[in-house]
Amino acid sequence: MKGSQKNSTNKGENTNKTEEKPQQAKSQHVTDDIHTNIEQIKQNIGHNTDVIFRSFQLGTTKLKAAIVYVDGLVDKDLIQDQILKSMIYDLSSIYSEEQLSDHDHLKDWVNNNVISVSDVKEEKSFDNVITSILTGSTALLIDNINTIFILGTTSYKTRSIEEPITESLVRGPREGFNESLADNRALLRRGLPDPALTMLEYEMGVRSKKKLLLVYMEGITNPDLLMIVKKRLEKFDLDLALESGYIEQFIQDDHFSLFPQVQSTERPDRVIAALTEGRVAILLDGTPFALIAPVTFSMMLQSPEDYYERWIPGSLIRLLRYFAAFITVFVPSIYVSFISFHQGLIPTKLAISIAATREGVPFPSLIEALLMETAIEVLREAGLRLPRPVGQTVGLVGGLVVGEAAVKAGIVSPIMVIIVAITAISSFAIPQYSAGIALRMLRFGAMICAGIWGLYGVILFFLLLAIHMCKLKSFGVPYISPAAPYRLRDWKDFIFRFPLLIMKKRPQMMRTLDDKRQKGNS
Amino acid sequence: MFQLLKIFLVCCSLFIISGCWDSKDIEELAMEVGAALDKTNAPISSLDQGYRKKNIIKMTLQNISPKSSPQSDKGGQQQKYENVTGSGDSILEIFREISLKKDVPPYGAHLKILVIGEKLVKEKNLQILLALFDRTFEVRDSCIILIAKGSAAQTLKLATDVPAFTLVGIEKNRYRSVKMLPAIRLGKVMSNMADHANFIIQSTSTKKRKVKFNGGAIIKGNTNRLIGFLNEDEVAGLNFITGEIKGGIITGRDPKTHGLISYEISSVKSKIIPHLDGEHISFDVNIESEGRLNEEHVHAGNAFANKFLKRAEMAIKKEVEHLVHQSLNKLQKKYQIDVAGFNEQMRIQFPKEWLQLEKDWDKRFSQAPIKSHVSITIRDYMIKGKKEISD
Repeated sequence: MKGSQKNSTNKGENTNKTEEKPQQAKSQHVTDDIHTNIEQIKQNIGHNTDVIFRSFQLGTTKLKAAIVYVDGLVDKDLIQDQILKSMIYDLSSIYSEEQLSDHDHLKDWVNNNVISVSDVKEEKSFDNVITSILTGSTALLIDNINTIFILGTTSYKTRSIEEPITESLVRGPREGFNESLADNRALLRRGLPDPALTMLEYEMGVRSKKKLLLVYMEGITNPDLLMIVKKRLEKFDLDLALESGYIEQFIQDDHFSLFPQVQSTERPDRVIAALTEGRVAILLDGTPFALIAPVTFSMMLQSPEDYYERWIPGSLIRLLRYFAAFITVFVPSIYVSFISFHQGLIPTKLAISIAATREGVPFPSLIEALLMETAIEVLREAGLRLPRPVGQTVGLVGGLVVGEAAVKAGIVSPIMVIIVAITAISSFAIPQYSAGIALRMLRFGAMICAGIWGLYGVILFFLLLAIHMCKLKSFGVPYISPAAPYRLRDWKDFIFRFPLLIMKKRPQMMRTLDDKRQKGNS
Repeated sequence: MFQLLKIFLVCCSLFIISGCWDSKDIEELAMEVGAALDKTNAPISSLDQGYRKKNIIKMTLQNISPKSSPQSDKGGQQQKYENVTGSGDSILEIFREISLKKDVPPYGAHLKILVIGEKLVKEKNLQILLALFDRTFEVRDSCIILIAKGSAAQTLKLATDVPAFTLVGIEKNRYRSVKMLPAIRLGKVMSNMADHANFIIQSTSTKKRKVKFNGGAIIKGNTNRLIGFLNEDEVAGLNFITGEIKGGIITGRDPKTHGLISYEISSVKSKIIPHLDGEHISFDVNIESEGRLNEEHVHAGNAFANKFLKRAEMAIKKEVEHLVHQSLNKLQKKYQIDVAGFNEQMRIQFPKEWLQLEKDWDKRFSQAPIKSHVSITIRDYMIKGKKEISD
């Protein structure tokens, strides 16, 4: 990343102050002559038809000026009403010749008295000018002034704030992030109007030049964690950052682990909750998915709804998700090992009926299980990519018709269909899509182990998994904490969600600077 | 790189050389649910030519094989089970011989019931007979053991869905009858025999494909052979002595009207109190029972009347005392064997003296006077009758 860390927009100020360091030694500087300047810009981006050059004269003077912008990225009304109009008409009524002759004075005067646009920057490097134009700003060039005004006129069509599709809740805010960083930032600010909420801006992608925000709570987030995140964000060099998934893959700890080590979410409330727990969030322009780091495995099985519901139903539903996660990974493998190794462990009458239903099935149970699980993964993928009405048909046809036909044809046993259906449904009960994928992949490993070694293999697989998860860390936080390392205080919000009343402190594993969540008498 | 390749090869070999040999899909097993052992004198069949054996034991295995499963669409009365018979000199030999006749191997983890023929247990040591079932890891210790009067194989040919399950089901009815012994399972039988203890096993009789649990088969310790049976009433009496009763009824006769009185047992507590006076041994057996008056043919009018209840209690008490006496009589006089746990109480109360008594305990027991004290309380008269205001 050729990142330049800009300002920290705290204390509620909107305008950006430039603390720009000259970066590119090669880049040419703006000259006094407007024609040279325009030529310079034209050389770079002038061949594009969407780049508009508009020359005019300042008021009634002979002083030449021009604006350059990209059509479609700017707010044309703003340019016409607040820039062109004030430069051409309003200026003439109040200007004096001597003011115009003094170039420095003219610059300040234009800045202070003429342009009624809130976001104004002065730029001397052409590279930055061109970047700004391409991201929707308008460049204002005036003859005899050796800087170019960059006016924040960016305005493009964005999606309105809608309900997040991948993380819908029964109870909870219906707002989700959209593709506009400004909107997303505003959502966070609105949810947490606290001066401690700090947003650092980075630029991502040498070519895509996406804005990236590193959000944290000053005075809560541990500085060591912040340093790790900053270091990782600055370390890599990326051409293109289309989605926060790009960033996630560069900053994660273990590239070979199946488990997501950064949480992605569409929900502002989730991000805000994470921030107040001492985590950091990363927002990228152009994607509704914010990243939260560090994460633990238990977070993958949590939903914001756990906290919005009263604590007993919240806890039980969370417990249910742990069961669902277990079912997703282990039920097919346990079934396979029971059927082909440990028939004695099945209750007699069930064993008899299973044996009866498997009669005539030509494949060993492992092959049968792999076949069906693969089939359901294919169906899921197919249903996901198709337009919604067709997708549902695929699910229906696949699940019901093919399933029943396969049973009737004697290729698979009905019990296997039940097992596959249960695992598929359980995997959808996991609130994090990426965690669900991880567990679904692990299921295949477990099944193969079960097919080779039986229940012993399943246990071996479980041990391997446990070893891997114990080893895994997300930004310095152990992945399965608070189970290991054992931190009793954090168990209040682990498998069960205890009443908010007794969750008086922030998670211990985050080592926050400010421990107290409730200023109670504790 | 070479190191990695080595590890990879080792991993690959794991796939090839391990584990899978144990894999056997469930439908490729013949699940045994019941087994019967009988003495036989079957002549060597023409199939067994060139095979030196005497055919002492006949084993019948009740298999549920998927081929005769309830799921088949053929309709009609298709048998859900299949009985496979083999004979030979040792149990394992018979098992292996069955493999010469059947395509799928028998699988013993679901063996629920093992019936042994009367003649076989009289002749052969039970410990030796059951050794294979005990040694193999497949058969569970929870497998129920029964002794069949007559042929054990007949017990597995009942006219029910799966005879083995029927037998297990009957065993669960102990809460409804006093005439059934607590189920004795393979693990318990083996531990009793290792203890050289006497014990009693539920016995069954089969006639015309119908079974009844009637009485108990007494196995003498050390020899581990069957020495005789108790009939149903004697089993009831024995159950009262041991207190192993979960429910059931006792029928007595009203001394005044000679009408029938049925008493449904809710609970029975019994305590055996041993007394030792020098060489002289005696016992008191205290039996306390509570229950309900469910049916009476007396027409006393008011079942709530205390006088009637007293009478009823007396009648039941007499009946229980009679049962207890009867079974003690049989045990002491006829078989001269202690299967009711008197020895255990003696050992607990007089541990030092027990060392001397232990040797010829059965003989001493058979001469010991035993007094029984029965107390019956009728707690509940169901809804018949009305409250009596004054006695």
